Amino acid sequence: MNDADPSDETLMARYARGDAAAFAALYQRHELRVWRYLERNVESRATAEELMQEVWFAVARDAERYRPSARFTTWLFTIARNRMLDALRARRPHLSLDVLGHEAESLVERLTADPGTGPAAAAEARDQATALRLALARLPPEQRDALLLQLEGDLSVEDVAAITRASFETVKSRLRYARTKLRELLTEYA
Amino acid sequence: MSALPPPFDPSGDGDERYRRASELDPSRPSEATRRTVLAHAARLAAARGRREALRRRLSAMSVRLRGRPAIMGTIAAAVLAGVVIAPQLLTPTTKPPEPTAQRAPEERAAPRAPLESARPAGPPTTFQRARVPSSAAPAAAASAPAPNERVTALQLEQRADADSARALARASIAAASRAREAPAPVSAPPPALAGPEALRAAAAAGDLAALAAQLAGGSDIDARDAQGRSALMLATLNGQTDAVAMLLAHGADASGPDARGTTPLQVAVAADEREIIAMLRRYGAR
Repeated sequence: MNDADPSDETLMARYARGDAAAFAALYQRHELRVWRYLERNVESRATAEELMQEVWFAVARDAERYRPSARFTTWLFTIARNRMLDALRARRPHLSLDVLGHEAESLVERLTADPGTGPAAAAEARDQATALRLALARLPPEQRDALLLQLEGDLSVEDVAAITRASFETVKSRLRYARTKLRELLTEYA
Repeated sequence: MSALPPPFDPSGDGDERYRRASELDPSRPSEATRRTVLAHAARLAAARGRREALRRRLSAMSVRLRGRPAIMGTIAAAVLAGVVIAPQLLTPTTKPPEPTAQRAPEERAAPRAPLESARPAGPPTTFQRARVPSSAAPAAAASAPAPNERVTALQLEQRADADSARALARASIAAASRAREAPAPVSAPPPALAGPEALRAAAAAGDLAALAAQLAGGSDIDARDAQGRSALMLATLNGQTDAVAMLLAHGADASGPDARGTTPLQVAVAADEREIIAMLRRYGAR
């Protein structure tokens, strides 16, 4: 990694010393990945916007405490996931990640009820993005969460296991099922 | 769903299709979110930058001063000189703020000042003698020291209790006020305060209602007493933080010195009134 393309950890260190441009570079680099992780899990743009701000506020605030013992993206997606769960619990106490399943189902119902954007329309229009959203919404919440952490966060199975506090084998199993189901659904909606 | 998980295929066709479809997804966070996040981060960065610069300056200063006892001695002497400032500000003025007959019972019932309560029991000091209630005015007046003796006594007390500069400044003003009451005849009604005098009295007492009334009435906010002390100086001497804030907000001269050239900031520093120090500095006090 050269000076023109500093690592995430280097940028964080610069920001902790007061370099606002370093934060802007980090944000630019990871904005979409965090956004997709949040929005595809909560399936609510408004909630995702709120969470997006909270996550990056937390990154800014805790920059001085960040130690590059783990990859920045692992730290970043840990924050994102924790904020997401906190927000869901704050709105509906005693609910867990399962709530994401309910929200996702409602998205499916909404999309399939709309003839313009339902699965048939998506298939006809070859709208891969809509098909992807629908496919993700059909996944069980834990599988979707693990898959999005790995694909958007570019995290290893070990990292996903650490973030979700699940065993390595459990995460590996969730990822297998998620991939299989996703492939089937994308084929169905394509 | 079967009992056995499907084969692990981390880089299979599913991931590739996910990525292609993901790139086609136009969903983005709003520009408002981006601006809010970056503005917040920039504010934190600016604060960190200032702290970092200060840390570097202090570090450089400590390196320069290391091994230079003469400079350190000079700084220590300057700090000691600052501590001696407070007693010089404390000579009494001429008019009492309130009727003596009304104050006497309140003072008897009033709790002791922190400075005095912190001291061990023993013979009353010169400073404590000055706090004799005004109902004993004749005796107090007979034993009351001359102003110069009072200042000397205060200085001696301060040396004996070096960490009490803040309490001393506050208590001394109260003592000076009471000493002014002592010679006043009980039967004679004291003259009512008006204008700048009332403003200074309200500032010294932290009476915000009276202070606001005086400011609204157009009293000269920077008018001085016989010792050249402004309302801001008296509020600072008494640690009246809210009064200081009100005076500064109304345009009081933050740096105006008294007759001895002492500024409110010097007094606040000597008394370690941190809130007042911060406020004065915000208003450019020197």
